[in-house]
Amino acid sequence: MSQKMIERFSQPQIGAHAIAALSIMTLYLTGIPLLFPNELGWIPELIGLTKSMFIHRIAAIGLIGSAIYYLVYFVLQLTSGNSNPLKNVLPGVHDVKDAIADMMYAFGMKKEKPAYRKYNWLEKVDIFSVAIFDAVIMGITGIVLWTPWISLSIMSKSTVLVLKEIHGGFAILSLCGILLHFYVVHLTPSRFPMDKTMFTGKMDEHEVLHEYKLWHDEITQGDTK
Amino acid sequence: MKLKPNLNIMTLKPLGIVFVTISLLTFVLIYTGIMKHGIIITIGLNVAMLLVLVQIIAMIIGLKGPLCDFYRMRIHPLYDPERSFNNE
Repeated sequence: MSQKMIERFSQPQIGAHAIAALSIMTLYLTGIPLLFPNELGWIPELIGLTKSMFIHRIAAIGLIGSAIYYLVYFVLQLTSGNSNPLKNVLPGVHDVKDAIADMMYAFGMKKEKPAYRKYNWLEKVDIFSVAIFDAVIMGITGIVLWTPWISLSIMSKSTVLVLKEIHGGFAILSLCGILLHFYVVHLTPSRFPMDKTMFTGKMDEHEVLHEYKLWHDEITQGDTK
Repeated sequence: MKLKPNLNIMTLKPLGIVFVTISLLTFVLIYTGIMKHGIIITIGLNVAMLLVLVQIIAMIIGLKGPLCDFYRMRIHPLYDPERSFNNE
C-alpha cells in the first residue's frame, strides 16, 4: 500500500540546507580544535594546520553563500507576491506555550504532547541559532579575522582580539545547538536512526498527523476548500 | 561455525543519547568555568567531534539518493523519481 507523502521542503531549501549543513560541520571539525589544542590538537595535526585553515575558509564561503542564497530566496518570494515565506518560521507566543507544554509532558505532568504547526519550537530554536549565531555573528567576526590587514586599519587590535573571543565562544554555543539538532533528527524515537525528510523534501502523512497536527489540519482544510 | 553479529541498530540509540548528553555537559562545564581541562573534558570534546563526523556521514548518506535521482533525471528525461510517491 502506498503512503501519501506531503511536501515539507522545496528543492531550493534542500540544496541550501545541504550546503549549509556540510559547511557548518566542516567549520566545527576544523575550527573547534584550535580552541582546545590540548584536547583536540590531533585533528589539525592529522590534516595539517595550513590545510585545515584553508578548508575552514572554503567552508565559511559555503555557509555565507547559503545564508545569502536564503536571504535572496526569501526576498524574491516576498516581492513575487507569494505567501509570506517566514510565516511558518517566525516564533510566536504559541511557541512559548508549546515549549512549556512539552516540558510538562516530558516530566509526566501532562498526558498529551502539544499539537505543533509546520515547525515546532525546538526546530525554530535550531533555525534561529544557525541564522543568528552561525550566519550573522560567526560570519561577521570570521570575515574580520580572515582579513586582519583591513580590520586592523579600521579598528584597534584589542577589538579584533575581542572579536576572536566572540568567534570562539559562539562556535561552542552553536555546536551545542547542533548537538540538539543531532538529537532531534537522529535520536527522536519515531526518527531513529535518521530522518530523511530534509533530503527527499517529503514526509509521510501519518507522521505529519502525529508530529505536526496543526499543520496537517491546515493542509487538509486547504485541500477541501 | 559462522558467528552471527549480535549488533542491532537499536542498541546504538541509548549510546547516542549518552554521547549527546556527555558532550552537552562538557560544554556546560567549560562555559561555567567548573572544569577547563582534564580527562573528562578531553573525552567530552572528542565525543562531540565524533558526533559532528557522524552527522557529516549522515548528510552524505542522505544526499546520495536525491543526487542519484537528479543524475538519472539528467540522463533520462522520462525518469520520474516521484513515481513511488502518491502526491495527489
